[in-house]
Amino acid sequence: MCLLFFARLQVLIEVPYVLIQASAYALITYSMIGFEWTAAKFFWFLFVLYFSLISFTFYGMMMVALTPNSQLAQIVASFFYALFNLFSGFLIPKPVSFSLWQSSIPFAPNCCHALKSKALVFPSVDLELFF
Amino acid sequence: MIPPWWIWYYWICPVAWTLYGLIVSQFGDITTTVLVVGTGENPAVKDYVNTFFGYKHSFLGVVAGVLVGWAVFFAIIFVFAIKFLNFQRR
Repeated sequence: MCLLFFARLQVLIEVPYVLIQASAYALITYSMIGFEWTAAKFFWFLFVLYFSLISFTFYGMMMVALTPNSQLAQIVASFFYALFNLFSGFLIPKPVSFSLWQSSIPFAPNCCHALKSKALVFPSVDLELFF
Repeated sequence: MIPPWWIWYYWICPVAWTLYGLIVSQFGDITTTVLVVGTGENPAVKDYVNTFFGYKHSFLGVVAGVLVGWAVFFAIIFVFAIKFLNFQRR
């Protein structure tokens, strides 16, 4: 049996199945939570839910396919589940303003020296602006 | 706040995009005010969501695209892992 065909079928079968799951879940939870009753918001809810559910289904399938046995798949997958939860932006909100330049300061000694010397020469300059 | 040197992980975290999509599609355009516990401030819901979580309603389209992208990305890796790694062969 062609492996690529088999793998693609395994992906395709999840598409309608997860749609049914997501629709049932969305109908029940959306009405119970009490969000605004507009079609647009409901379908956004369903959309986000559907693609989250299906990407986690595919994520699990991917981990099983990438690792030699189910024990290893579980260990690797749950390692990333913990990271996903920690970095989802709920437990620790993401900063609103962020620039690449800011993050590069700790790794750029020259930049730090430049800022320090600037602080010595111009003590009134507010360095919090830079950090 | 997530430290700046870890923010790259926020952007490659699938759950972060789920939360962004859910919260910004439901609360990102609501203009009624909310009382923020502890501060006594009274901002509009959409402004609170923006200042506390950093979610912008104008970013919803991008979030939708990325959510689809994650599903496609995992599915493609799955298909190629089955094809080339052969762990699942009987």
